[in-house]
Amino acid sequence: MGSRMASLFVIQGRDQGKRFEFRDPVIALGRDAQNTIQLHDGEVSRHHAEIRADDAGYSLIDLNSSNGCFINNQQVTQQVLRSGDRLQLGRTLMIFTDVDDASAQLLEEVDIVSRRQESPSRILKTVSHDEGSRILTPGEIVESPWLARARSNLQVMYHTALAVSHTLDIDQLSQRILELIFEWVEADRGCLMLVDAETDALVPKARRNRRGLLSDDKMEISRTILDYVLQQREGVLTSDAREDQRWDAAGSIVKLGVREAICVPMQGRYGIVGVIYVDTYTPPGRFIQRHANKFNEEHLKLMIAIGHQAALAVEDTSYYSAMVQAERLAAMGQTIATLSHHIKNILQGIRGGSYLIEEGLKGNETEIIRKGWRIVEKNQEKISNLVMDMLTFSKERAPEMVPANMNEVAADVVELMQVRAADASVRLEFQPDPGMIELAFDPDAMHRALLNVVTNAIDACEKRADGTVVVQTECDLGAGVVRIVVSDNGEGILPEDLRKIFSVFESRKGSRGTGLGLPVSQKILREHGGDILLESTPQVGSRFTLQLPAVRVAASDRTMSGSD
Amino acid sequence: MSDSSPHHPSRVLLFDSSPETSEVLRMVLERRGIRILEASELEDGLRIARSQQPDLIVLDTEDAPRGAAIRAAFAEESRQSHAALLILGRLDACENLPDEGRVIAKPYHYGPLIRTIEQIVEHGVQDGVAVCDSRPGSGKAV
Repeated sequence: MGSRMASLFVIQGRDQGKRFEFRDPVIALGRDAQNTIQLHDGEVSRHHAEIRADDAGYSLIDLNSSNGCFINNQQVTQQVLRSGDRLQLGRTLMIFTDVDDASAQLLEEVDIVSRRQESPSRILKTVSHDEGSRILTPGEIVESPWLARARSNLQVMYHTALAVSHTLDIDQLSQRILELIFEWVEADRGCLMLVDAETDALVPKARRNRRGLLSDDKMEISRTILDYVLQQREGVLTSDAREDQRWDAAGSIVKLGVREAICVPMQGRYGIVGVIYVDTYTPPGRFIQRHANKFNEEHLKLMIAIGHQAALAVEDTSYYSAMVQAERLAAMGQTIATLSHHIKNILQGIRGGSYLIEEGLKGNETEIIRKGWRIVEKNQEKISNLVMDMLTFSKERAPEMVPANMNEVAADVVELMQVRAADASVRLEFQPDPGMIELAFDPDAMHRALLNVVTNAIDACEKRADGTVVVQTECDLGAGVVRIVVSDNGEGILPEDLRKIFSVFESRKGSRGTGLGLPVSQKILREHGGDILLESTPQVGSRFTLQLPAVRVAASDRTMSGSD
Repeated sequence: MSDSSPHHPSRVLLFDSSPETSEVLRMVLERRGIRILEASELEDGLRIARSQQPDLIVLDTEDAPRGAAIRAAFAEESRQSHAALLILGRLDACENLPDEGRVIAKPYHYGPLIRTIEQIVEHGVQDGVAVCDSRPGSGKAV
């Protein structure tokens, strides 16, 4: 077995985006909370099915569920699962992966009119999904040069749609699909609607008009047509009702001057994801030459094929979005958990300090009050540093380059950290470069970057009897860099930890570390065009070099800043 | 307050990764006549537990790299020496609470924690010993 576990990834249904890894040999699936995999789906039974590990891998067993189990659209009572199998329970569709296998405005613009409101138009021709999709099959006899040309470009469309799908933007993808359709079908208006996963209702996602056609009219689409397309999974070509007696009983289909329309299902791998509707529109009373712009069966077949390709692209986009969303949620959950833990530790410290103050006040004991207050102050500083590190880490920002002296920044940090160093019985020394000149950098950001590195160095020396941290500055104008070197004789860093030390939330300091300090320092240095260099030997010590370009200050800046 | 005689004051071993918690507990408990022993390394802690035979071992190992192993070692020590065990923070998902132990989740309040420590050193670990924090999940009897 590999290190990854077999899993089910939900691609449709209320649990969309969730990944369930198989940690036990028996996985129970159902609506009840006691199941290993609880599915929030009213059409799933309380104890619907089980997946059991056996010699063949994993097998799905239906536990006499009300609505059955389907693998790749086939109902099964027991079957071995193979990687890539689509498992459907109720309305929840999942992909099995084994380890060993390697818009409001549109809602107003588009109306689905009910039977009562529909005007007399009729369906002239229907084509099934399979029949329409044969247009894509190589070697199929092509009925016209137009169709041959169109087919040859479908592959381009699919790749284009896939490329768009990587934007994770379904609206953008929908619009692109309509644009591609208008390159091939001389329609006046078009609309792409997708099935909402929650409500099953068709929601308009994109609308397009033929160039030059005014677009401020409301697009009315027949409910009869949509229902037919969705239920029969067939594309339809409709025209004026008077031309076809078959549709008298069904009533009218399109009103207000729509002569012809094509509506096709977007048939994907797992079901219908939506419909595409195009029509030729003529305002009432306007004469139009018979057969001009008229849709025919070839248009319908092409639209069926486009609908299928579009559905695949939509499914890919939805699937990819769901995966990215799941990853984001997992990362967010991890971040919140880590930060909550740090805040909890700080709160614990504040409570400790407050309790001592309270105890001291009861007996009017100044020494206890003083100790309590010091603990409160230390934790106040910790929360302040945590918030500042979080802000620095979360924002992309350019450094505020102002004339400043790196010796002064380093001296400030050393002075600020003397109390902490003394508490830890660590000697903190500062060796400024006497040749340091005023340079352009962000002094506040560099102060934070250095503060984090020095804090780390002091903590690393805490258990040493002769713990010493030395902060040196170096202005190397020949090399065009300025450096701050922080050396300590602390516990050092193990070679396997060196790579992780600048990774966010990687801390080896237990409750004292947030795992944000060094990543923030590195980010600040990189924003300055520099970096942090690290040398370390376990049980000997570490040397952090904060190096950034020495940007000389223009005379005009010095005048402006008044630093001269 | 502990009613132990001056010749044999109650003893509490603090095994803590947080110096602040140690400082607070030490200051307050010593004022109540309880002798405080401290350790931050497992070997030292076990050695002190064996030689000094504390009435109670207070563990705060939530952030310790080998927290579960440390808790298991002290749980075994607690079984051998009949010292009570009080764990501050949470246990790992697959970790069982030792029979002699109590768990108090963070962030806890010091007043109730200190009252619980006093109760344990006076009466030992008994079923029904009140756990200091009444919030759900903040502590539980075995």
